Amino acid sequence: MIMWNAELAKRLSCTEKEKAALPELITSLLDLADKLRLGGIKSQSGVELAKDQDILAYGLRMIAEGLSLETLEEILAIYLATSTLSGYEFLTQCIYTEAILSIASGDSRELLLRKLAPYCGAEKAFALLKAQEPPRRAETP
Amino acid sequence: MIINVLCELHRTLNLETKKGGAEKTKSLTRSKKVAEKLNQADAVHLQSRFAALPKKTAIYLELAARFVLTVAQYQREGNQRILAAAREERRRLLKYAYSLIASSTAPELVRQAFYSAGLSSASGYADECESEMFITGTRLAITKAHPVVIMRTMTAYLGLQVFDQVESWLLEHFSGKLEDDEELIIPGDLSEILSDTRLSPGQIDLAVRMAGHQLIAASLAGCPRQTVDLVKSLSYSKLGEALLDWNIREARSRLSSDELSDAQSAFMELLGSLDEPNPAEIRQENWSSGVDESLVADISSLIMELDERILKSVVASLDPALLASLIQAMEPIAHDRLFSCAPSSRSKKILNALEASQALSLNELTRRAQIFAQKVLSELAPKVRQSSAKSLQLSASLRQHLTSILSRE
Repeated sequence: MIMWNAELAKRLSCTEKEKAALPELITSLLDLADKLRLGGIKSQSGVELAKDQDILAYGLRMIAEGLSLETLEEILAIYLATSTLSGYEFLTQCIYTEAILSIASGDSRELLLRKLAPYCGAEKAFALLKAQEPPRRAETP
Repeated sequence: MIINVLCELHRTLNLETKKGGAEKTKSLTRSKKVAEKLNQADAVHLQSRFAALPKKTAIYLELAARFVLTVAQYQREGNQRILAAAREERRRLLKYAYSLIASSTAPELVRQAFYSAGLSSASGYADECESEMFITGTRLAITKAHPVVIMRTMTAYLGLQVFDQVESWLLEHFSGKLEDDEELIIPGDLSEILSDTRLSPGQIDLAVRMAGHQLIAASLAGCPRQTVDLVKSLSYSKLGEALLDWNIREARSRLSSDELSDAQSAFMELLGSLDEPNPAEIRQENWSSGVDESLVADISSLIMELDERILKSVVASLDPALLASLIQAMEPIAHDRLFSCAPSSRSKKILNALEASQALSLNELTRRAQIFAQKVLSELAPKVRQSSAKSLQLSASLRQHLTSILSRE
């Protein structure tokens, strides 16, 4: 069940043009999760992230602190709710946060994609899911 | 899902969106001076609306630290300690927080209790940041959360700017190492498996995260120190190590040898399962096995590409039981679109029907998909019939999906 709040919806709203950048951002998060799945959470600790990705960097540090998923979710939600951002900038921070929570729970690439894609809106999400779809297994005769 | 937690917070905090974006609070509007100071500093991108001048921030941190240390003492020494703290404390907010902890107030009633006492911003308390910090801290203390968790959550209101400072403070106060403790060895293969070079650091780390802190602590509680150190080096920061040590110590005191052994077996099973598809993938696999993937693709694409007005009309006119059974042959993203086009009362009916529905054979699913496709066609048809008798004005892909569904046998 997804809850809804008018104030939050207003805060998350951004233009279609801005949303067009989201599939690329989500793809980069999928790649980051792949690297973490391979090398472990500490393998990316020294990697420099962009300035607007500081929630991602701090989020990864909190995963390494061994905080439970519930605690992590509560802390990250406080950071987001009390932040001064809105519009596209806020939406991207929400996507980073969703990615952190998914990484913390050890989700597969496919599950992470399915959690992040809806942030693009139905049409773009569908296109993104199609684009990221693994090649179909050869059909048996 | 973070959106749900954000919805809750947006309801409880006094968030008011200004035209153009940024929020303001009813009680604390950031002054120009503060904003300038913060901009000068190497500020983080995600600024808190409660971010204050360093002096004020230091006061908040000092209050949180005092509270957390008292709670830590209370967790070690019992109720007498918190009652004494409540007696000695002069600051109204802290005094009240301690009294709520001492009386074991139900966690879900803490906010209401602060409100009734006039100590929340909703009931006129001037400092919303301070009030929110202590409502959160009190609730967590009552649920017996670890002091590290309480401090991290309380100081989240101050923003990421204080993250490092809080980490240093926590390390200083809560980094009791296991080195001083005696080793406890529970016979088993976990140590050997973890040091097996065939396991990648990523696999071990993934298993640690999937296990959660309670299972991993119970599993490591009966392992030699070098195994614990190996896991720490792969998955934990300095503060994480301290928290893990605390959890291991707690597991050793709370659990029997058999329970620790069971935990090891469970963790080994988890490690072993990492070579297999994860549960979500299995669910996905179960969901798709037996379903014709091209039928799923056609139905999903049809739903995604249909004009919203047409889809709403189709959803409104079809039997909820038919829609529910059709959901078995749809991508999850198409579920979302379908439900977004149904009024909430109809969504409920579809969900009820879904709960009562049985898995259908491919033939039955195909038949239902065809009824759906026919309904789509009948919704599209009247518009063009009035203007001419020519073929339906459909996009090529929509036509292809409809044809593909209707031509199935």
